[in-house]
Amino acid sequence: MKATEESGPKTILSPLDLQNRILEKGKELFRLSDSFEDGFFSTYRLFSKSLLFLENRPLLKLQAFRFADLFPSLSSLSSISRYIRIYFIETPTEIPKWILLFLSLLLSNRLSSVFVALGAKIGIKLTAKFFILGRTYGSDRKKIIDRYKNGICSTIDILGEAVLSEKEAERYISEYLLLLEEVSKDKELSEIRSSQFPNEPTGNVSVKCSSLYSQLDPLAHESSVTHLMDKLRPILSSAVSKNIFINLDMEQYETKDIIMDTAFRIFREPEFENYPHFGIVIQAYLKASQADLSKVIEYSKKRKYPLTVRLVKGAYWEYEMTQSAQKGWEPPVFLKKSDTDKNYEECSALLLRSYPHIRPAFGSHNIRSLSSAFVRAAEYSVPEKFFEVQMLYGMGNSYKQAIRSLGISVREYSPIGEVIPGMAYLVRRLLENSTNEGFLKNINANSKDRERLLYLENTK
Amino acid sequence: MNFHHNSNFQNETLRDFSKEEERFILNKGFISIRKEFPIQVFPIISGKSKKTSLIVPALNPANINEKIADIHYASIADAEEAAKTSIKSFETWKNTKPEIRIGFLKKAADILRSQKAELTALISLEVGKGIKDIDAEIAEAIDFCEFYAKEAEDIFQPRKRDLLGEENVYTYIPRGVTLVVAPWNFPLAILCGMTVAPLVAGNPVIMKPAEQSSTIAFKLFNILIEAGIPSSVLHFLPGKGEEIGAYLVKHSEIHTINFTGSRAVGLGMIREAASQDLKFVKKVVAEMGGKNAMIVDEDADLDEAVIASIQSAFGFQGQKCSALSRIILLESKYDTFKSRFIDSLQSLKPGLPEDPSVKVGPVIDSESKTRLDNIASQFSSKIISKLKIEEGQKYTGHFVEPIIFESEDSTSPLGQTEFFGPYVTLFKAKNFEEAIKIANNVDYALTGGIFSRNPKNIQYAKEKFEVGNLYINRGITGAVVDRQPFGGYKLSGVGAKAGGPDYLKQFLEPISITENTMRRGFIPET
Repeated sequence: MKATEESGPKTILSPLDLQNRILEKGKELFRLSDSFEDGFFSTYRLFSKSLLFLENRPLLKLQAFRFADLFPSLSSLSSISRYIRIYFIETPTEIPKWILLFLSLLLSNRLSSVFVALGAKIGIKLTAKFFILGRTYGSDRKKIIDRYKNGICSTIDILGEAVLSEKEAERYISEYLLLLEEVSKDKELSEIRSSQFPNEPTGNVSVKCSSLYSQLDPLAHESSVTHLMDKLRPILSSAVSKNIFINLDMEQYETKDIIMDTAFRIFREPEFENYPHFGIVIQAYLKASQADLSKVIEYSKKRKYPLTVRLVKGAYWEYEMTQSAQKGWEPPVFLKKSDTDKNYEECSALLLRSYPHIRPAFGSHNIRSLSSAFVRAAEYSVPEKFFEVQMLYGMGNSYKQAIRSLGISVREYSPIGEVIPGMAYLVRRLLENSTNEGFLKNINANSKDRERLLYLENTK
Repeated sequence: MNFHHNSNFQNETLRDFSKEEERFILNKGFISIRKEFPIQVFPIISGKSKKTSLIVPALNPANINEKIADIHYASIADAEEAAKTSIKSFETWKNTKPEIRIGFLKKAADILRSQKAELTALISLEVGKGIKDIDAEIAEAIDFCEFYAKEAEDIFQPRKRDLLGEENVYTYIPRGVTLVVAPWNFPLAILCGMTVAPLVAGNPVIMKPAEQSSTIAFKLFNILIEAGIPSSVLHFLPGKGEEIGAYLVKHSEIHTINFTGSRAVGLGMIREAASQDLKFVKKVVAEMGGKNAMIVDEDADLDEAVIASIQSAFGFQGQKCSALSRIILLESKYDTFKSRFIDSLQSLKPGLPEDPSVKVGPVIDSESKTRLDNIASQFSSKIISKLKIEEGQKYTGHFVEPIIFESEDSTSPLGQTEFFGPYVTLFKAKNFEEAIKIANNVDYALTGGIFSRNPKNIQYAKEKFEVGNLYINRGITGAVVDRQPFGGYKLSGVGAKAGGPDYLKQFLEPISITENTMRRGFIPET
């Protein structure tokens, strides 16, 4: 990326200056986050510490993820304890011998094995609650309100199983409509918003397109786009009438063009063309991401109000690698994590350079990536109010506070849905997304190691 | 990431239809093939087209108002001529260097690659298959050419075991004229694999394609000739199976019959071959079908199991020998699976297979439709869901309503008879062992699958599930050449797996030659 285009920065930073500033910004963020650490959000640190038990225990980690993935389909306590035996005792892992002994002792007795199963069930539910806001907005809105009170906005997403039929898709659509209804009617929320977040729309909802239409198919591109538009229309209409932000999430590479075309077409419809609160996602791990981003920027330039682009790295890396290997295709994703990180920074620069035609939302937990975006924003004179950072609910709270203290808005991606199947979903995301693993390390690292995380390419 | 490859064979790449240009090329294929309609399909013997007294039109099964081709049927006299000239050409073909024969297969693969768009359109229009299935099929045809070419390279390297004073060579020679009797459901891939394998091994081949897919067969025949296969060793005989097929099966000069089709016909061929009084044993290689099962364990991931079952049972309207026709569910999963499976079937769109949003096309012909409709009414009390096909569509094409049955009796025809259509039956099992028992309790052993996250049950299935191709936590159709060599045992077939390491050898006789090289105490230097 050359920084020589028309709307270029006032002061062009040399590559070395840029790197130094990013490092400084990163250190500042770490410092700030340390000062927030022991406050309101400290339970997370405890949790992440306990996750550290899995580090350097690859077999155990694999079994733990597999068990969590399986868990939703275990219907009874006896089946839970049976599978604990199969997954952790009969399968070799790095569990210390004394724990194994103790565990098999407990499992050998019917009464105590029920106790183990119950313990596992509670443990998994608690873990899930770290990442999942609650069952429905209505039942768990208190948490959202609390976040807003702490200065953190949210975008709500509905979790769940894959949609296999139109009946299931219809159910999701009505869940989205209900969610919009509930958010717009929440008086407490609107009071906090109008006092503390005067420019925020009434609410913010992330929509998973694959849950709206069961027959999405890249071969049937045209009919997929048409159907998806039909499914989205009532949701967008409702959002417009309630002044709620709608973001169209991205999923697998094969549906990317369908979702982009759908967005381009539906946002242009008369009912929606002058609505200020629409957003889509660009996944920086895709080789096509810069070309796609340029298309989005050109599109957004023609709108009265700019679109928001949530820039993420992407959570389907392993899936895309497997798919392309099995079909004999060139992988659509970068093979090296550092290439994705580099591309993320290039996409950030592209986004910021297009100011004020597009609103950037940096979705990352990587402090280096975020620092780079902040330094670029300053370089291109993009006001802090114009962009935001998005992080997952339940992760990196002290970082959220640190970023807030810089005057940058933070939004949490807050999933709602059934806790148990939702947990499996999240585990899959965690498993797929090695950046999150990096993030866990990031959180628990000492200051020296943390600094090393601020370099784009790990020299190791 | 570390991938372990055991061979350097590369499978043909599937087309990525999320790319706009691929979809554009696909559309152009339909336009250009339609300009050739009606295609004139003749019997061809030694490069000469034959005149005929019987011409049968080939109609689009999804829209019988569209004529694809005129099929000129071969006569008994044509069959006799094909057999005679094949015998005459055998010696020359046998003595043609393997490298030359191998080169023809590689060329054929290239031509197939260059004609993907037109072939896709033709397969869609002649047999009513969906685009993605066709793409996999064309890739499979290309894979067969490349794979058997590579296998031949290895096989024709003589195996030497030389000792002091004694030289031992183990090598292969072709068997003789091969009759290929192919099915219509994989009109390109199966016919291609069944033809090029005996050819590259050095045998002359008489192609007898299925009546319902003679046009695609004709295209393939022309591609093979264009690739360089001498017209004296490859003959094309469209026509009635009962007539010319039966005649050639009995023919005293046919050494090998390579058959894929119904169990009745296959077993008939084996009986016929065994009863003939010849100077050699006529060999029948037969692939004959299945009654394939999927077991869904109590811990299965239903999102995946339902999707895989829909694709395996209803893909190409269930007209694959590998298609899913029995789903055996553990009790605790039964109701949830059933309702999600039904809803999922109800979400599929029936129509013309050339429309990319269509998931349910026609069955092959009116005979098949009548047969399937009769089965549906015979077991109407067991139907739990049926995908409605509009009346209009029923009149313009051979559409059959896909059905989910439910049964408690796995020994009834719902659990035993191959229907070769979009019909699947749900059965219940108390535990995993019982599920395997039900799955095995059929005459067939072709494909089967399980959805389970219990390593013990997965291991149990690996040991006990009687199938030629076992699939774990995925659909049970779509075997890929070399990766999943395909074929069954019990009454599913006899012979080696297609696309596997033993297949070519079926068309060869192994020879062992030993030479004593010592003369009066003198041993030549080697």
